Amino acid sequence: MNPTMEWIVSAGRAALIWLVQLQLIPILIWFERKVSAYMQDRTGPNRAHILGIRLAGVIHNIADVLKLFFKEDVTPPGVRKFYYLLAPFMAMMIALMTFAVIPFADTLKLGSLEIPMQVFSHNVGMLWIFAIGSFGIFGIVFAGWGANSKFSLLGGIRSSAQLISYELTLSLSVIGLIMIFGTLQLNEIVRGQGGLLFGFLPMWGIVLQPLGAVLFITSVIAETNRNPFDLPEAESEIVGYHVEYSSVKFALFFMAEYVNIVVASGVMTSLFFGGYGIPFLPTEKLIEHAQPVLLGFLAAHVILPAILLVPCRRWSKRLKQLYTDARRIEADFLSAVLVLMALGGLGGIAFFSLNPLSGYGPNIVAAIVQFATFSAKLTFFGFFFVWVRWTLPRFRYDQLMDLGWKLMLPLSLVNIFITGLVLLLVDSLK
Amino acid sequence: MNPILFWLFAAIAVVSSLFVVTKRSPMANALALALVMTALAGLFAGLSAPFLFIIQILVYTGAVVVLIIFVIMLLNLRPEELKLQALQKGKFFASAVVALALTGLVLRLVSAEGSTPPAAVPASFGTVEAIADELFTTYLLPFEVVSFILLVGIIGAVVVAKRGE
Repeated sequence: MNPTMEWIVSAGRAALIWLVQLQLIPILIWFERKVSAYMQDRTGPNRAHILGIRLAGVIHNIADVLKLFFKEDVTPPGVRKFYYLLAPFMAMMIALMTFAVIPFADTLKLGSLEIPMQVFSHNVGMLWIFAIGSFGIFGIVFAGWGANSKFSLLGGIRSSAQLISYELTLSLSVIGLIMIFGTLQLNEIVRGQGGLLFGFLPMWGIVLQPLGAVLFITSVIAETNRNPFDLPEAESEIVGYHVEYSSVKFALFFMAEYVNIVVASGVMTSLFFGGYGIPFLPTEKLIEHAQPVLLGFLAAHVILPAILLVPCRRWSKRLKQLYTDARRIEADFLSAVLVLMALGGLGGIAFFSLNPLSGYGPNIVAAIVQFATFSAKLTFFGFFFVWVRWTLPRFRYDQLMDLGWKLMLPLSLVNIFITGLVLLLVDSLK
Repeated sequence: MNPILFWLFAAIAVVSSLFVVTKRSPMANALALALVMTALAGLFAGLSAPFLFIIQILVYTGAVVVLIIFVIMLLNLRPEELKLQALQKGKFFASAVVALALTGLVLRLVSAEGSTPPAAVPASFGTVEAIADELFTTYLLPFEVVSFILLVGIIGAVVVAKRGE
């Protein structure tokens, strides 16, 4: 590959992960609002619309963005300006950078050309996540300290103490997994999870390391400052490190939180839930059977919209009775989209049955299918974070510290010890 | 390593280390120290030491400097509380001696190594695996001793903290 090509491919990969991360922010915010609403027996956002299209509240995000951008940008007097302004940028940048080592598909092989489907495919892998993750504290400390207000200072101290405490468990809980797969490279860990245990169980991290997975998921929720560990924001007791921020600067913190969730779900997926891998279908098999997989994919593209069309028509009738304004047409618009999707799927089936995949086709299809699998898992774990937040109550600060230091840290050490013993045993039995 | 990158990281490291000692606000010192450590990590990354690069960031920027800024935040000193202290003569001489010795050492190294071009390193040099191999076979005893010393340090800290109770 010549250098120019290499640059273009690298830039493309970097752009792709930024897009994925930024695109997931509105989806997660929408999850947050709708899930909380349904859990509290409300409807959630359903008013904002563009020409009658509401998309069950997704459009509300656009209203939010406009509001945040056009709000007055206040810098309170007395802040330590340099740190105050630096903090939101650091929070956002660091959150976005962490994703670089997470593989979103297996290495794409085009003849002699090998394109790793992760931005930074070095063998330091996992360590990169911890290294960049530990930078995250800078944003919080600079925000809490730079605002020069007692409330944000307290929020900053609590938040950074929490991050420092749970980082220990976070890194110790994955050591068991690293010992089993013998690598720090996330792509190799994901590929290792494609294997089968006892011939039928997918070797997902959660199967091999149940304790490690529980510890990791718990501490990663603490690291993203989400409920039940959202003490930094605990509205009823104290206001968090970003209390003195307004408009876009606040929006950056808000977005950074969701990017952190995306990163956390990405790491969780790659380490414990098979990453881009589909159970029982490793990359080689996927490439081999690319044709039926592609046709099945396209068939789903036809069948799902066709099924959805029935409730959509019923909804359309109800909307016509309810409203006289632009909202009447929403269901009709969605039906049109569904029909177009189904037609596109049919066209795809016709095209690919007449021209079967050849050359690099199967490899590219396999990469796309894996990327889709990864995105689906990523979105599900994004939803998982929201789900946990609206289910569990918040910890008290001393309970949080007790849990982190006295229970989870010893448990993660025990996990490493047991993993080592089992590995030795398995080795001696061979 | 690309010479442009080398000089860039080197310049950042030198300028920020000057800031570490000249800036008055402790938070600025800590931030500059973080920059020094990160620039050094960049140098390691370019000089076929990927493991050192990531550990430099993880340990120095991510843990040591974070601890320092955490303490600065906890103390939250006002500008008027930060009095300038005149440098004592003893301290000045001690620092000067150390600085001179260090400069001599660096000059000696440069003059010894400077003329011979560096030999190519094997591909595995500086990777996690290579370092782990050395650390857990050749240098196992020093490794264990260091971890024991760290343990003693931790216990010592607990003892000092609990003495008042």
